[in-house]
Order: sequence, then C-alpha cells, then structure tokens
Amino acid sequence: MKSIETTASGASGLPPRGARAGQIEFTACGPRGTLTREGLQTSLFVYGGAIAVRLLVKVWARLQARPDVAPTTGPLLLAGAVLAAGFVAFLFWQLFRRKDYWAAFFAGALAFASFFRFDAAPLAAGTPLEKPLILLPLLPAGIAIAAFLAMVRSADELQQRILYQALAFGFVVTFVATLVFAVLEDLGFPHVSAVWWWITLVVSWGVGLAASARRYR
Amino acid sequence: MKNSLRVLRAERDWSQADLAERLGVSRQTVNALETGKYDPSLPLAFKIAHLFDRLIEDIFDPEEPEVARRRPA
Repeated sequence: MKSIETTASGASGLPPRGARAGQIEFTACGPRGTLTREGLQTSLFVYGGAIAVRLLVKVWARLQARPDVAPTTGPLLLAGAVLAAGFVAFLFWQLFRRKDYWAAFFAGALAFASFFRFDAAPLAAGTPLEKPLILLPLLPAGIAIAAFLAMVRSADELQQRILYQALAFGFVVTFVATLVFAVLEDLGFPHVSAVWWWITLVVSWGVGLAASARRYR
Repeated sequence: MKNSLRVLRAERDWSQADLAERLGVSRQTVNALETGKYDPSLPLAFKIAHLFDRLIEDIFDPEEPEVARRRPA
C-alpha cells in the first residue's frame, strides 16, 4: 500500500504534497487557501506604486506655492502620479481576476497604510484636486474591504467558521478594551486615538484566526 | 467523527490538494476532515459520498453506540 500523505503537521516533517512550493498557507482565505509568493510580490509592487503616487502628489502640491517652478513640472508630476495609480489599479485587477483575495486584502491594507498622514490635500487647498486628494486614501481601504468580503464569500464552510469565530473573538476583545479605556480616561489617563481601536480589532482578529485554525489542525 | 477518508483517498493515489479540488473546498478542510477535527455539512457529506461512490454511513462513523445500534443491518 502506498504511503498516505502526511498532514501539515505530520510526523514526517515534510510539507504535504498538496502544498506547492512558494506558498504560505493561511488559515482562512478564498478558494486558494494560500497566500502565494506571487501574490505577496504583487502586494509589494502595489505598496511601491502607492508610495510613488503619494510622493509625486505631495511634491506636486508643494510646488503649487512656488512661482519659480517650470510650468511643465506640475503636469508632469501629475501625469506620473496618474500612471503610477493606473499601474496600482492594474495590479489590483490582476489579483481579483486570479481570485487571490488574501493578497488583494493585504495589498489594499499596505496601500492604505502608505497614505497614512497623507497631507497633500491641505497643500492643494484652492485647487480642483483638493477634495479628490482628501478622498484618495479611501480608495485602497475600499479595495481592501471588497477583497475581504470576496474572501469571506468564497471561503468554504470550515474557513467561514474559522473567520466568524475569529471575528467574534476580535469583537469581544475590542469591546472590552474600549470599555476599559473609557473608564481609564475618566480616571485621568491620556486619551487614546480612535486608530488604536481598529488596530486592536485587527490584532485580536489575527490572534483569533490563529487560535481558531489551530483547533482544526 | 471517525471516517475512512484518508484510506479512500490513498486508494486513488490522490493528494489532499487533489481531493480538495474535486470537492471544491480547501486543503485545510480536507485535512481537518481526515483528522476528525471537523465534521462536514450535509451537502459536503453527500458530495464526498458521491465522489467515492459510497454511502455516507460507509465513510463516516458517528462513534455513538446509540446511533450504531439503530443502524439497519
């Protein structure tokens, strides 16, 4: 009788034959169930493209206040930003087409992080681009949300159970933390920015994912 | 719940990924099924039975004496 394939934590210590080289197996993600090396590379390219957009737009915004700059510099910088944004959009389209939702979510989160404290909008005050620049960081956030929902919809029954258990854990931890810190603030502790609530939710969700997935190994 | 999924898979020389692809689930789910850490839903149980051309009762064993006693001969 041929040897039976070992499980992911099997005694042989060898990776299962089903796991292809270059794959990082995550606990709960779409039809692939893995974050491929290719998906990770694409995510990093997305991050680089988002950084390029941020830098080009920021330089353009700063140059608006300088009269000594050549008139073609501004449009060139904006054209570069639009090209970089188009490249990022193409990469996202590729990830969704491949149904690589974990990579798309990761890329969206990275792109959103790259716009953290994006201050080009105030510099562009009075220009037609002021409002679009304010809304720009919402684009990668929206893509990350869409990727997450697509991941949940395409997950199989066990993956969905793991996801929901992890979300429930994250919700409870964040709820308790919110109450505790609200009481501490009333007692004179320093105010905690709302960003930390999302960080708490994401981190506790990650812990819940790991713990929940471990139960089924 | 005990099952003979691993044996049936080995008889056909399928990897866990092969079986996962045929069932439309992740390799993680197949692994959890084989180790008994996860019991399939009814639709998935029927899919498994159909794939291996067996009855559900022939693949999955509830391990409960009451249920086993009530099983028809």
